[in-house]
Amino acid sequence: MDKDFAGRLRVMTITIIIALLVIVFRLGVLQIVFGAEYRRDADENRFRQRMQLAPRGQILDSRGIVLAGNQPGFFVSMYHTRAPELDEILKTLTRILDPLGQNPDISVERFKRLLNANRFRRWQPVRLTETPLQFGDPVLLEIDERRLELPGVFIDVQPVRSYPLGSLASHVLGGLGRFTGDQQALQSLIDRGLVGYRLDSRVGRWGIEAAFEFVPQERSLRGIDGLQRVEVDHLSRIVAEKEPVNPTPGNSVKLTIDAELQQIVEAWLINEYLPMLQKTAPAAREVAVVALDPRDGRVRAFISLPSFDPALIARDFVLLRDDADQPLVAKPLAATVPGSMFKPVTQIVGLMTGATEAMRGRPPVVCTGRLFNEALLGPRGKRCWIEAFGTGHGVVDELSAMRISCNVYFYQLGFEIMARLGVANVLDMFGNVAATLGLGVPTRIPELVDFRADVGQFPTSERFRDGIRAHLRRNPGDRRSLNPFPGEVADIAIGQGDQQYTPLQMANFMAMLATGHRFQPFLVERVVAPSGEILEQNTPKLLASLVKTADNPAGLITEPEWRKIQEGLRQVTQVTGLGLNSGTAAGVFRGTPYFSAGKTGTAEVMRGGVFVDSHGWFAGYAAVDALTSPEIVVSVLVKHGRSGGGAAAPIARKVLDEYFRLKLERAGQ
Amino acid sequence: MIDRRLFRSFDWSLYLAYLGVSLFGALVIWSASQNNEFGEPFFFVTRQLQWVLVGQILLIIVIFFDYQLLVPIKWPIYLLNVALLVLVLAVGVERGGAVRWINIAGFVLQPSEFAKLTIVATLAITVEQLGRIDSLWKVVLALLHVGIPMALVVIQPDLGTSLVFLGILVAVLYVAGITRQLIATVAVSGVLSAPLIWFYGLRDYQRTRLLIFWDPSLDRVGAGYNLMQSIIAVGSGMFMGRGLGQGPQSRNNFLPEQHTDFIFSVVGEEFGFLGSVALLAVFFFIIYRCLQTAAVAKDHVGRYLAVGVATWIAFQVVVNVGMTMGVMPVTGLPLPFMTYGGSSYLALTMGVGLVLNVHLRHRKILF
Repeated sequence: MDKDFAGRLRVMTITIIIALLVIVFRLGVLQIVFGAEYRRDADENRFRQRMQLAPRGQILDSRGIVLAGNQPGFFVSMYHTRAPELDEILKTLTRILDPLGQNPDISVERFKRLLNANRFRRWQPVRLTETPLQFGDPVLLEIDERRLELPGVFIDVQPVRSYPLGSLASHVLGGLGRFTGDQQALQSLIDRGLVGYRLDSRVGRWGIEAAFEFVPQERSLRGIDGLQRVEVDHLSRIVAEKEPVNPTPGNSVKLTIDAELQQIVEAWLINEYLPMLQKTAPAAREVAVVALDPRDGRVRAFISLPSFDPALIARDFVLLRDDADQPLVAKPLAATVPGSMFKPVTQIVGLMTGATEAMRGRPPVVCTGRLFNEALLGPRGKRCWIEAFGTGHGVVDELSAMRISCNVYFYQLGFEIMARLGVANVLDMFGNVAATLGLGVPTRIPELVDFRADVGQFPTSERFRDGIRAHLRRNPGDRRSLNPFPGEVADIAIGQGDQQYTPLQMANFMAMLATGHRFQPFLVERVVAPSGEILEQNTPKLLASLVKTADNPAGLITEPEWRKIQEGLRQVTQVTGLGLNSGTAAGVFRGTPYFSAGKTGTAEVMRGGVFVDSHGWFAGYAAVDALTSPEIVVSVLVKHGRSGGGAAAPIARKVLDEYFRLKLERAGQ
Repeated sequence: MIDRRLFRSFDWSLYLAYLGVSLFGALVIWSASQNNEFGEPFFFVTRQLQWVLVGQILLIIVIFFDYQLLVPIKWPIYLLNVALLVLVLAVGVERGGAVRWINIAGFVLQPSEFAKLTIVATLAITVEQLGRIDSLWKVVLALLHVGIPMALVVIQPDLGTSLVFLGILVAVLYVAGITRQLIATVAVSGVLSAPLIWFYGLRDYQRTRLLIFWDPSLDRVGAGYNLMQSIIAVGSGMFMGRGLGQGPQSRNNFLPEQHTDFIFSVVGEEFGFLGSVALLAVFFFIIYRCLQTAAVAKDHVGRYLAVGVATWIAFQVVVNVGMTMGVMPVTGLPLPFMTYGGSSYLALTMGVGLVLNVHLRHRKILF
């Protein structure tokens, strides 16, 4: 063999060795130097992860009935896929979801836009449908059957908030909406230790749902979301599911509300009572009912009509907000003029100032339907409501004045009080006593986020003078005094004039008259962890007591004085004598199997000094054995109901009837 | 014709290395094609093993006859080859934009694979007849010999295979003693004609592939995506590999063509650096044995045959493996003995048969 050939063979061999060494070097770079990085790339390739949203904690009534829970929602979701026929896949999907092509949200273009927006987070799926499909929907079956034609598409089952009792107690429950904050808001939440929120999170926006949102985990309705890792093939078809990190459900919140009681009353109101009432009072559409336990402040019923479906509040928000009947306002928290409901306050002021005592020593008051007092009221005098019926109340004393709600008596009492305190400061006395009784001061149920309305307003002299000053600026020719005229003091004494209170305040005021004590009303009984552990237990909080004793120097009146007021309230619901001078709510409460007391109010709504309409009020309390141990207070306001005894008292009776019926029924079980 | 003494000269080491790679290839094909579109895990490996079996029969036949018998039938073989390549263009089956296959009695044949074998065989004889390559016309004649089938393959289009032809030609001319002056002449004319080939000789997709080879990030979703997935697969094998059948890149079909063009990516992913280097070492051993056979061949035809086959194998190993790691352009050249497919496997087997044949009948006196 020639030497040249051997040499050339050697050159060939060396060339091949060099080429192979280059390849081995490249292998080393890929597999040893960057091997770990490529392994991570490979894992990123094949793993997708999807959130397992934590079920939100339940909201329960006092007996464990679920007011807000979760149901499985079936969402059509999709992973990024490299399937070349993406358009075809999406077209198939739109034909399944929307065969008639009517839904503008279901289109290939929109799906592509969603997928594209998620292109930097390919490991997580894109939700293609916003509204969940229900279990058993044939669309679900079809998607499952045709999954080989739909690589990347899957049905994502996530808990969806549900409200099994519909609009019941909607103003207490509130509702969920989109997280409205931006990236920065999200960061500030994280800084506060609140994790698990995303820009597309649904969060509690109103009511209890909102009160237990954005709070530390140990009292939050929100749970901790879990994670499911799945292994996919090159077309994003799921090959295997990995061990999931299970979600932790949120804490449940137990309310003081008796949902059964509330449901019965609400259904009766909507289906029977209001349609009937509207025949005589067509504008009577807004109703507030509060029932609470006067012994501890637990709210048993919280009705606000018209209401809304908590599941739809976010969707329908603008409609609801612009509705003239204001369904988004929690009516028990909306203040309005109290009318005769205020008369017990006037009586207490009278007792405190000695005015009532002075009245007792004078000739009895005779109501002729109008009080004439040339010096104080001018030639036309001031009318009692009974005048409209062409008569007067006749002789009235402090008990019957309460029973039949005689304005003439309370005008006189107001003048007596004014005579003792002086016209400059008399309003402050009414205001201070009202405030002590819980009227016109915020009730502060912290859970009613975003339904909070006016806190109300008790009268004060300064406020009155401010009003007059404003009036004088507008009318420079007017020379009137900054102090109230006697007629204006008389208005305050019968619950008209510049003062407004809420039905909840009225309930709490009535609770104080019933038991002598006023507690902080509360709606949340306790917060319970998924494990059953009680995380938070609300306890009754005593705010004020009525009777002046050595222990309670801040009390307003003596025990006998208090009992006498109670007697007046008791007679309101009683038939007396031949029935001619019965209480203003006697007919309504005829034949109850329990003892009851209360006060009616017909609040005149004035606009620009002109009478517009009347709201109907009633607040009262009841007991099984004797009125000395009342266990339930109810407060009712029917806006534009025209009459307290006629429109509001029947609702209170219904509440009390059902309360005691349920109590008996449950005791028998 | 066969002398029993001859078998003492049978190159068992080459044969066993070849058979080992073939069987290892079948194993990797199984691993790579577990989740195939037919839903039968053994679909591809069964067929490949059938080819291996058929290959052994062909191998015995090729060894049986002295390779010198090829000399008188050089032109019939050459013309048959050209005829088959013309037939491809006339009645070929199109797959993925290229016409490379023809249907013969139910078998899908890829004549360009057999063309490599034919080129090796006929070129060895032609160059032997030309003698020492010391003038330009001899180079031109050899170039013409390869050029005609090469042109037919380029039209298909199959750039990779035509480059294999060119590689074989260069290697055979080199060992045939082409002078330095001629090497320089050919090299300069090659460089000068490169722009012409780029603009007039290549198709758009071929230019794209070369550009992507230069910078894979140019195309992350198309060909570049395949390359990225292959690089990820190889890299993620790390030192020890994921283990046979355990590579998610191939198992979940992220790897394109994982039982054909990109079968080495599966080796890289599942057997790691260790297994990959071992496989390359075995390939080198096979090439080395072929070159050794050339060194001991009894005549120039045997010598050029062995060099041709060695170049064929070496070229395809380097280009194919390089391609899976992004150091060579994506050309679709199969990995010898391992890529799934009958034509490539049988052609290469017969190539190995020729080398074994040459070795069997080598000179008795070594060096």
